[in-house]
Amino acid sequence: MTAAASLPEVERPRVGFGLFGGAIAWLVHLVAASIIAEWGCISGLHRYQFLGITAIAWSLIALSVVALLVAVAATWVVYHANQRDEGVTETGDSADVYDTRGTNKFLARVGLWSSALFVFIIAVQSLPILYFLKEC
Amino acid sequence: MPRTPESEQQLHQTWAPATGFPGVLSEVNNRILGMRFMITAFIFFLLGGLLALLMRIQLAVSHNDFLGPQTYNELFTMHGSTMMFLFAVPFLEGLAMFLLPMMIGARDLAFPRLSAYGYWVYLFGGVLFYTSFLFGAVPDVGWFGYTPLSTSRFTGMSTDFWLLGLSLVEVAGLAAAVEIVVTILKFRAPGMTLGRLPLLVLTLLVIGVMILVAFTVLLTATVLLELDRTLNTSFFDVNRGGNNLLWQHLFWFFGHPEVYIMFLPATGIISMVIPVFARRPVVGYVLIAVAILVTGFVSFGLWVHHMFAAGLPTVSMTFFAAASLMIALASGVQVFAWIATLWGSNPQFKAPLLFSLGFLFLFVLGGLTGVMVAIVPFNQQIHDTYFVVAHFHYVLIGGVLFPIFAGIYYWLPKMTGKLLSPRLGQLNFWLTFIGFNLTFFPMHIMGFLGMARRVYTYPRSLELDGYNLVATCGAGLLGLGVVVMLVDVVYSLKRGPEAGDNPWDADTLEWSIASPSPDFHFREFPIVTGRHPLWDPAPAASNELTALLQLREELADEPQFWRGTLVTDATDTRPVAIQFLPGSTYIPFWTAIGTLVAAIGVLAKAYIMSAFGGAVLVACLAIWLLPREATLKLLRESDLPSRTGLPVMSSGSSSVAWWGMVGLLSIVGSGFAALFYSYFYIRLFSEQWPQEGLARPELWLGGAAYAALVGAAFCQRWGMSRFRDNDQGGARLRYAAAIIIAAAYLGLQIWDWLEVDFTHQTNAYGSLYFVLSGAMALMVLVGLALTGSVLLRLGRSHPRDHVHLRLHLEITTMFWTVAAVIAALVFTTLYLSPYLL
Repeated sequence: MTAAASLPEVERPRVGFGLFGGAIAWLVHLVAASIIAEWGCISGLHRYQFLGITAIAWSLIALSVVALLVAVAATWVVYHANQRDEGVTETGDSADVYDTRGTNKFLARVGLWSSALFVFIIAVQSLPILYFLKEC
Repeated sequence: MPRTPESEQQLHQTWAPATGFPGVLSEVNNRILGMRFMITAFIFFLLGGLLALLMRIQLAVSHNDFLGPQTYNELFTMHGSTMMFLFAVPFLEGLAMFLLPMMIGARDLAFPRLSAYGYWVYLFGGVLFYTSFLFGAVPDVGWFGYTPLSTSRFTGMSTDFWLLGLSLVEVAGLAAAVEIVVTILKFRAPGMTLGRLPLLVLTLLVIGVMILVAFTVLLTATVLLELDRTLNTSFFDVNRGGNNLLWQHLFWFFGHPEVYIMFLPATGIISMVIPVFARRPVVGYVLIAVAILVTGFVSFGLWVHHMFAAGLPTVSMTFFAAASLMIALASGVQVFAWIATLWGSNPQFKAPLLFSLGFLFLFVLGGLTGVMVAIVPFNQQIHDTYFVVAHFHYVLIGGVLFPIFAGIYYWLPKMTGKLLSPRLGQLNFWLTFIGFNLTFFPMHIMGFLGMARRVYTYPRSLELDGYNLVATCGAGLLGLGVVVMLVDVVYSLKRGPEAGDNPWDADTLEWSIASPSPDFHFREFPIVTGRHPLWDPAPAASNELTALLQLREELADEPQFWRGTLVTDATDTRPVAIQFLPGSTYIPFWTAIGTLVAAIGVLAKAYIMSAFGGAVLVACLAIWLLPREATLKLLRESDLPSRTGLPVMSSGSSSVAWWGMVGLLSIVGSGFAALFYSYFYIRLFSEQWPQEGLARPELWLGGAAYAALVGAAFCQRWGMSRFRDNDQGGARLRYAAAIIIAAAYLGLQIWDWLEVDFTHQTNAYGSLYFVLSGAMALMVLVGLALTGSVLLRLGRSHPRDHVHLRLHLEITTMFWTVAAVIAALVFTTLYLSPYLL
C-alpha cells in the first residue's frame, strides 16, 4: 500500500478542523464578545438581570462555553489523529518523497498544540467576564 | 533531454534579462526585482533614518529651536510612515521575492508581471510621498492619520499626499502577497511538503495571507477617508452621523497585524541563521510552526489595545488585554527554541549570528514591555509617553531591523557573489547594538517621568535633558553603524573575496546554486526528502524517487525556448504541470503609470486626469490579461506533454491563475468585510436608522436588482456545466444571458440610486449606502468584462486550447459565484437590516 493510499480523503476535513477549529473559535469569541459588550452597554441590555447577573454577562458566558467546546473538540480530533499515527515522524521517511503520512502527522501535531493553546486563550479571555457580572 | 553545454546556453538566453535603459522598465525576473525592492526600500530607510536624526537633534536639549513644531510634526509623520510603509514591509517582500524561488526550488515567482507592477507602484507611491516636500505640503498627521485631524477640515493637500502615496504602496503590498502565497503553494520542489518547509518560507506563507486581509482593510479605510476629503462623504464626520473611532478601528485592525507582518519573516530569518551558525537543526520545529500560525491568527485580535485610552467599555477592553498577553506565549516559544538550538553548540560568531543574538536580547526586552502595555491601567498611565516609543522601537528595531541586518549579512553573498568583511560586520554590530540601547533604553525612564511623545520640545523643569542628550548621542552611533554597513557592502562589491556557492555550509536549497544565481536558478528541479536538503543524507531508493529522477532528466534545461517552471500539488508536491512564465514586457510599467496618473489626478483635484489614468490602467490590464495567440501557439506546439506526461496548459487548482483569482477574491472579500463592519459600526452608534428620518430603502427594487445579480451568477455556472459537456454553443448562450441579466441589475441599481431621497453627502447612512452599492456595481462591471472576454473566445478558440479556455471559464465563474455571495450580503445589509435592526 502506498503512503498516499494510507491517508483517506476524509482525513483532510478532520485535520483541517483540528488545525483551524480552535483559532476560528477564538476569533469568533473575541469579535462576538466585544460586539455583545459594546452593543449591550450602549443599548442598556445590562439593566436586564437574572440571578443578579446582567443579560450581557449571561450572553458572554454562553458564548465562552460554546467557543471553548469547539476548541476542545478541535483538540480532541487532532489528538486522536496524532495517536493513530504513532510511530510516524513528521519529517517522514526519506524513501517516501511525497511523505503523505509524515505531512499528516505534522499537521496533526501543529493542530494539537495550536488548538490546545486556543483552549487556554479562550479560557483566559473569558475570565474577565466574572468581574463584570453586574455592570458594564 | 540530456544536459549539454548548448542546452544550458539556450536556457541562459531564454532567461536573459532585458538590457539597456528601456530594458530596465521591462524586467520581470524575481532576482532582479527582489534586489530592486530591497535597494529602494533601503534608500527609504536611509531617508527615514535621516529624519529621525534631525528629530533627535531637536530633542537633544530642552527648549531647542532647531526645528519648529510644524516641521517636527512633519518629520515624525514622514519618519513613521517611511519606516512602516516604505521600508520594513517592502524590504521583506523584496527579500521574499529574491529568495523564495531559490529556497523552494523554482525558477521564478508565480506572476512575474505582477512582481514588476508591484515594484513600479511601490516606487511611484514612495516618490509621490516624498514629492510632498517639493510642494511644501508635507504630511503632518502622524503615521496613523487619526481623524478628525486628517479630514479636510483640518489639513490640506499634505494628507492627500499621505493617503494616495500610501494607497499605491498598499497595492504593491497586496500584489506581493498574492505572488508569495501562490508561489509557495504551487512552485515547491517535489518532496518539499508542508512539514519540510524552511521556516522562513512558512512565515512568508502566513504573512502573505495576513497581508491579503490587513492591507485590504487599510486600503478600504484610506479610500473612505479620501472620499470624505474629495467627495464630501461623511464616514468620519461626527456632525453628519459619522464616527471618528471607526477610523481607529479600521487603522489598527491593519496596524497591529502589520507589526507581525514585519516580525514573523524576521523570526523566519533568525530560524534560518541560528541553526546554520550553531551547526545543528533548529530545536522544536513543530513548536515554532505552531508559534508562527498562532501569532499570525492572534495578531488580528489585538488591535483594540492601541485604543485603550479611547473610551471603550472596560469589559470589551479586557478581552483584548487577555489576547494581547497571550501572544507573548507564542513569541516565547520561539525564543526558547532558538536558545535551545544554541545551547551546548559551538556557534560561529559571525555577523549574521551576532545580529541574531542582538535580536534575541532586544526582542525579549521589547516583548516584556509589550506585556506591560497590554495591561489596561498601565497602558492608560503611559499612553502617549516615551515609554511607548521605547517599547515599539525595541520591537521594531530589535525585532525586525536586527534580523534584517542578519539577513543582509547572510544572503548578500548569494546576491552579489562576494563576501562581506567579518571585521566591519562586527564593528557594525557593536555600533548598532550600543547605539540602539543608548538611544531607546532611556526613553523608558523618560516616559515614566512624563515626557510626551509627538511634541517638539519639553520643559527644562522635567529634568530630562541628560536622558535626551544620551539618546541623541546613541542615535548618532546607530547611524554610524549603518554607514559602516554601507561601506562594507561597497567595499565587498569592489574587492570582496568570492563567496562560492555555499560560504556558510548552510542547509537550504538556495545554497546549492551559484552565487550570484543564474536568472533561472535551477537547470533541473531539486528533489527534497527532508527539512535540510543540503545536510540530509541521500534519499533511499524507491519507485517514486526513480520516477521523479526520470522526469528530472527529461526536464533538465527545459523548456528551452520559453520561460517555464514545474508546478506541483499544493499539499503533497507531486508534479502536476509545467507553467509558462512571461518574459520581459513593458505592460506592468505602463499599468503602474496609469495607476500613478489616476492617483495624481485625485491629488490635484483634476478628475479628468484621473479618468485618463484609469483608462490607461484598464487598457493595459486588458492587454495584460487577454491570452496572446503567439503564446498559445508556442504551448500548443510544445512536445513536453508527450515527453513528460505533464501538461503545459492546466486548469482548476493545478493552475496558478486559479490560485491568483482566489487571492484576488480574498482581497475583494476583505474589502467588503471592512465596508460591512463600517456600516454596522456606524449603525451601532446611531440613535435612528436610517439617520435623520430618511426613508428605508425600497425592498422590491433592491430585491429585484440583487436577485438579477444572483441569476447572472447562476447562468454562468450553468454555462460552465454546458462547457464541461462539450456544448460550447449552449455555454455561449448562457454566458450571453448572464451579461444581459447583469446589465439588468445595473439598470435597476441606477434606478434605485435615482429614486432615493438622499445623496452620498447627506449623512453617514447616505455615504454607506452609495459606497457599498457602488462597490458592488464596480465588482459587477469587472465581472462583465471577464464574461465578455469569455464570450469572445467561446466557439472561436483553437481545439487544442480547450484547457486554457476552460481555465478562463473557471476563474470567471468563480468570480461571479463570489460576487453572488457578496451581493446577498450587501442586500441583507443595505435593504433588510434597516427593517430588522
